[in-house]
Amino acid sequence: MNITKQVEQLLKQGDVDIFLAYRELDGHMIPHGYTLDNLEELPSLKVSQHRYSLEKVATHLTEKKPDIKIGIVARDCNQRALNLLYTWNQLQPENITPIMVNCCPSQTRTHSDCTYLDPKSTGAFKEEHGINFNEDPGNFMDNNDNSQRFSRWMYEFSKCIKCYGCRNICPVCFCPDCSLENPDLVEPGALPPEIPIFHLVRATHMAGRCIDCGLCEDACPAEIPLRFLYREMNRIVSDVFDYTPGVGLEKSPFTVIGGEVTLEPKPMDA
Amino acid sequence: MTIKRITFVQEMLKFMGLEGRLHLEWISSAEAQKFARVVTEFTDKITHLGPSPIAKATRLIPMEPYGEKRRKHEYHKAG
Repeated sequence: MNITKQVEQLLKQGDVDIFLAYRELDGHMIPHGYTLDNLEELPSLKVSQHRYSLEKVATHLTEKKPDIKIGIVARDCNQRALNLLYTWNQLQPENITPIMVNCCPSQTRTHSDCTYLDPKSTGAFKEEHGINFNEDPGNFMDNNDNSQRFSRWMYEFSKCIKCYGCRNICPVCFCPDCSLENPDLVEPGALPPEIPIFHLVRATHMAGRCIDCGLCEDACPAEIPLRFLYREMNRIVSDVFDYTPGVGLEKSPFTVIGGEVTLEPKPMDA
Repeated sequence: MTIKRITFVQEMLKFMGLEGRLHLEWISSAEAQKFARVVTEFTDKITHLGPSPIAKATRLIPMEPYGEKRRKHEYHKAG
């Protein structure tokens, strides 16, 4: 059964009040909500390689109307985001009906539909002074000493125009009060924002939350390697807390107080 | 929990190239000597590392508006 039929059925049976997907408008795929009132628009529903954090839209809708039943077209990354939003009580699994679509190629799927599959290319200047998008964090640590790492990150962060694109696109950014908009923490009207604090605040908040969808890096107009940064943050989280966000419905260790610890404080000269 | 969180931040700072500027130690209120020793050692360590590179690096970046305006919170008040 094709997806249009499937959505039509879900809407007509009342299984979902709104179905979040994409529609083609002037050659662009834009996020769109299909409801019973606009069934005639259903033929414009298309699944393409373009993606958007639809689950973020779902979170906003649920905020306004907690009982709304939402259908959503989902790839693997969307599914991870949904899992995470369930564990943080932002969405209720019984109110969400995901329809899985083609994602990364695998044994059952020979082709893929996702913008991420074109690896980002890194220019020569960025390669020399900044950070390669496709760098391996281990190699980055090995090939750069403390001060080199610092200057590379500062080069990247200094390009920030504080557009908040990374936060706005992020499917797992749902706090009603964002630290990055608090004038006492982040000085308004100054560009770039206070670096590296601005980016490290976000990096810290992404720890144990980031589901590695890569939308922030796609959205960043300054080409800051955010996915690389948050990936490493979550590598640390998985080492220290033994937790990978979005994989299951396990509660985030950041919300659990107590627990046994086997770590020792680092000696001062480590 | 504290130790896990601090370990996380230490690793993050290491990744950023700011290694060694964060230290965690458990000291009871009855351990004045330990407190004095740890603080002295850490002060020595920081002195040895020198001033934070952040201040130096951000001075090199042309920022507009900077200086007076930045300090006076003009934009904040206007908003």
